[in-house]
Amino acid sequence: MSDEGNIEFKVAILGPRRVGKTSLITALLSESQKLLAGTPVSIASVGTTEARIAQHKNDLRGSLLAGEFHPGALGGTQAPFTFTLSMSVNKTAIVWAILDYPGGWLDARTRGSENDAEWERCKRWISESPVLLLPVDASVLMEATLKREKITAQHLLQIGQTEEMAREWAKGRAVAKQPGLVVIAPVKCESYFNDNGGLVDKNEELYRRVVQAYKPVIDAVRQEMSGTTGLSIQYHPVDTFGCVELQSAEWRAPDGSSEQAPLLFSATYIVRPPGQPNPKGAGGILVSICRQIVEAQSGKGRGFLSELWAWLTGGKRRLRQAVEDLSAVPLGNRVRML
Amino acid sequence: MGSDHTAYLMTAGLSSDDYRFLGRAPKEAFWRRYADYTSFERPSAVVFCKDGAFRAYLSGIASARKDRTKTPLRYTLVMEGQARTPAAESLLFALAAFVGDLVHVKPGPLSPASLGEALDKTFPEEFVEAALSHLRDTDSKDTGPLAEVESRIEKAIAALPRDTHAADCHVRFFCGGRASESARATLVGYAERLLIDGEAGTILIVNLASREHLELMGGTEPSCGVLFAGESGEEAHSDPLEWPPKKGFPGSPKGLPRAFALREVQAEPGLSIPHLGRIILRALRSVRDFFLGRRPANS
Repeated sequence: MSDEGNIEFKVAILGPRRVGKTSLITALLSESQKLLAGTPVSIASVGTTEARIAQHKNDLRGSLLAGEFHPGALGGTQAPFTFTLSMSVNKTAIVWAILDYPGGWLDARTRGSENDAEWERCKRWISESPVLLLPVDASVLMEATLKREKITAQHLLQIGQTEEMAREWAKGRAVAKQPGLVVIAPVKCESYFNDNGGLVDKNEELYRRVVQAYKPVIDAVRQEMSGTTGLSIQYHPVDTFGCVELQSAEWRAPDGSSEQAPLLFSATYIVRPPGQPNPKGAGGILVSICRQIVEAQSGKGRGFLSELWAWLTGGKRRLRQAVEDLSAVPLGNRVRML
Repeated sequence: MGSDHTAYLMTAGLSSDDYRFLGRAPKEAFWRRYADYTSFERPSAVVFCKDGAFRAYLSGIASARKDRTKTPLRYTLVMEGQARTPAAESLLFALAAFVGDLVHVKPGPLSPASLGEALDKTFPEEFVEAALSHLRDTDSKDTGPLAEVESRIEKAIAALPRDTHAADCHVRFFCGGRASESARATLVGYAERLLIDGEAGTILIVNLASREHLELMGGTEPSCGVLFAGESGEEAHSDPLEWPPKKGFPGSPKGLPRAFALREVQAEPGLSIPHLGRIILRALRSVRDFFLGRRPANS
C-alpha cells in the first residue's frame, strides 16, 4: 500500500465506452493544480501518466484548432492504464491512482476472452477502492427526447452493467465495514451551465435526468450499504473542456436495423473563442475525497482510510494540513448530495 | 494462411462498437505487460522471439474508415508463428512498413499510411461490417466472413513493398527515436536477426516511455531493441546501449553511448566470457547496493 515516503490511494472508474474518462482525469489534474496553487503542496502526473496526459492534450488541441470539436476524435481506450497523480510536499506524497480501462469491458459479451484475466485485476482494483467515480455523458442524457432515444441512452450509458458493478463494490465495502464515496460525474456539461462561458442554463434538467437514469445504481449501492455508516453519494457535474458548445446531436438507426435496435448517437460541438480548455467542476472531486479522508479520523474502525489518516498523522504534518485545507474548500453550487 | 502460424486482426466498425478481434483472438494478451509504457491506441509494437517462435503485436494502425461519429478507426495486428519461415518473413515486411509509417505520425488523429492502406484494401467497410455483425449474431468465430480474416491479412501483407530499408545491426541492445532514419533502419535490421535468423530477443515500439524507463522495460531481456514513437521519439537519436543502462555509466541516459558489438557466434545469448563478466558485475553491484542501503530501481 505504501512505502516510507508515499501512499497509494486507489480510485475506481465505472465509465461506459467513449464517455471521456481520460478527459475527466485531465480536467481533475488541471483543477487540482489550481486548487493547490500558492501552497507548498503540488500535484503532478507521475511516470508515463505525464506523457499520456500530454498526448491527450495534444490530441485535444488539434481538435480544438479545427474549430469544430468531435469528442470521438480523441479515440477510445484499448487497454487498461493506471493514471497516477502525485500530491506531494517535500518527499512525501499521496499518489492518486486511477484505473482506466475500455468501457466495453463492463459487458462480458464485448470484453473478449483474451481480456478475462485482466478484467479480474480491474475488478479487484474496483473492490479495493474507497471511491467509485461514475462518469456520465451529459449530452447522451440531455439530447434524448423520443422513447427510442431514451432507451438507447440507457444502453449507451451501460446503466445495467454499472448497477451490477456498483452493487458488487458496495457489497465489498459493507462486508469490510468500510465507508465509501460514490461520485456521479456528468461530463461535457459545458452546454448545460451558464457559469463557465455558456449562455444556456439547463442544469436543473440535467440533474433531474441524471438522478432518474442512475436511480437503479443509487438504490443498489444504498441497499448493499444500508447497515454501514460512511456512505456518501454525490453529484459533481464537470465541464471537461470548458470551451466547447454542443452544436448538433443526431440519433440515427443503423442501416437495415430493426425498430428495436439501439440507435447511433453523435454530437458535434463548436469551439468557443479563444479555444483554450477551461474545465470546471472536477476539482470538487478532489475536495470530496479529502473530506472522506478527514472524516475517517473520527472513525474507530480499521481500514485503508484510518490507516491513511494514521500515516498522515505520523510525521507528514504538511501533507495532512493540505488534506485538511482541501477538505475545507467549499464545493460550490454545482455539487449536490444524493 | 499456413498452419504454422496464426494472424489476428482487431478493429471496430460504423456502429462505434468497442474494438474486437474479427473472429478468433490470441489466447494470451502478451502485450499487456507494456501497458504502462505505451498507449496502445497509438502506434505501438511488441515482438517477442524465443526458442525459434515469435509473437508480434502491432497497434495504432490507422484506417481510412471512420465510424458514424466521424472517429477515425484503427487496426491492431497480432501474429504468432515460427521464426525462419515465410510467416516470419511476412511479419518482417509488416513491421518494416509499420516502422516506416511512423515518420508520418503527428499529434492528433492518426492518418492512414502504407500498412493501414494495405489492410483497408483487403478489409473494405462492407466486409468489416459483415464480420462484426456475424460476430454479434453468432457464437462461431471462424465461420462466414470470419473464416476469411487470415487470408485477407496475408493478402494485405503480400501487397506491401519488399524493400525493408533495414540497416545492419550487430548490437545486442539498442534504442532510438522514430525521427531518426538510422534508428528505424537499425530496428528493422534487428528484427531481421530475430525473425529471419531466429535469434532470441524483444522489439518494443512505445509512445509513452522515455529513456528513463529502458531498464524497467527491457532490463531482464537477453536482447532488446526499443524505438520511442511518442514525443520523446522526436529526438533523432540512435544508440547502441550497455544493458541494463545505469545512470552515469556509458550507454545510460546520462552517459555516453557504448556498444557491445557481437561476433556472429555470440549473437545468441549464452555463457560467453563477457556475459559471465556482466552477471558477476551485476551481482557485485547488488551486494554493494544492499550494504549501502540502496533500493533496486524497479521496486
